[in-house]
Amino acid sequence: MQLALDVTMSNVQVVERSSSELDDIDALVRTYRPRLLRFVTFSIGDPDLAESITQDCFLKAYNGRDKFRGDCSVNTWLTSIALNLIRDQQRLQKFRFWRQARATAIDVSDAANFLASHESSAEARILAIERTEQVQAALANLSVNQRAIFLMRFAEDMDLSEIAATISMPINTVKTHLHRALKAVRAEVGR
Amino acid sequence: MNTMSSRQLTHLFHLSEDQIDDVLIGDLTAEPAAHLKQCAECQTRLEAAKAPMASFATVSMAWSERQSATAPITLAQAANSAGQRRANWVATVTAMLLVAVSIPLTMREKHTQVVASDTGVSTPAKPAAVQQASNNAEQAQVQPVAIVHHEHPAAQLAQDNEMLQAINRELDASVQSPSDNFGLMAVGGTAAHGRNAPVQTWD
Ligand SMILES: [Zn+2]
Repeated sequence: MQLALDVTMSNVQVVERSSSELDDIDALVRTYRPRLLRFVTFSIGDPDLAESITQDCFLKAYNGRDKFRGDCSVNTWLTSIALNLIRDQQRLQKFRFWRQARATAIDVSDAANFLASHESSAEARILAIERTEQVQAALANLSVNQRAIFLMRFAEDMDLSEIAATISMPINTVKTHLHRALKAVRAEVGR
Repeated sequence: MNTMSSRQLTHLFHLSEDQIDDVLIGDLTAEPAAHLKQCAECQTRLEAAKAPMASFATVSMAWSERQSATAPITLAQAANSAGQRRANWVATVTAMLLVAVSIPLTMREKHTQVVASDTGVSTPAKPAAVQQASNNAEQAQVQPVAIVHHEHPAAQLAQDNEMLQAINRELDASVQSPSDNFGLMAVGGTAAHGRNAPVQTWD
């Protein structure tokens, strides 16, 4: 009996070890956490909740790693899991929407110190912060989905079909949301 | 009389704001694209329109990297214990099948003792037959989704949704499974994280 169980255990472990970079949770977090945290934070506008959603996302990905088919990038896969978690939170109304939380909840002003100083002058960094705050102000007037789509395009650099597949929306709807977001940005920049 | 083709016409007109946005979105049609290629003015307008998004991408990433560096999460630990639970669960289901075959029914009715897990959560004792039934129900829930690649985007989406739902189900099952405790019994010999738990044996 005990022998039979031992054999079964080692078989299970062989199956468990069979996949990819997803098996190393530390490496997974190290590689993808900043991007995923950015996506969630700027989608929902609540940095604290974003931390917890990001953590849930990695756990969910790690525990469901057998289901990853490799037909999209790991980053896209993580993004789609994060989107589902954001939607769950939306349904549960667990976060205050961006407009109620103040747009200043995500303070990027001191991020200038972390931009590579050899790549840009102090003036350029100040300009970059200013532009970023204009984009943030524009995002504040969008829906969570519109922000998520904007981030997939302009932060994650995903193309239209990839975004449409990830957020389960027709490609024309994605385009409409992106046009709306860009108009909002243009309005902020033109102020 | 000199008439212009529409292609020649588009070369004369600068891009509209919507067309500039089309470029940014990755959705520019051929004719405005041809204009853009040979118009320095539109190229300058495009660069100006890109700038806020480029700055946002850079600065938000700097913000997030700093955030990630200053607020480390203890994820590996959490994942390992979840993974351990999951491994236990898989082993348990398998063990249950073996047990069901090899242990006479009269033996199972004795095993109703409460066993505490390492998470400090204990579940009410159930007759082994009941636990076995719930294990079987969970096993049915987490059947792996068949991996089929679809040409059709809608079918692909449906499959993606199914995959994500399966992930949800599997995570829920691995966290909530009462077989965590049962796992301690079935894999009893090792009792790796049994600590104070009274570990039952099957003989
Ligand atoms: Zn032009």
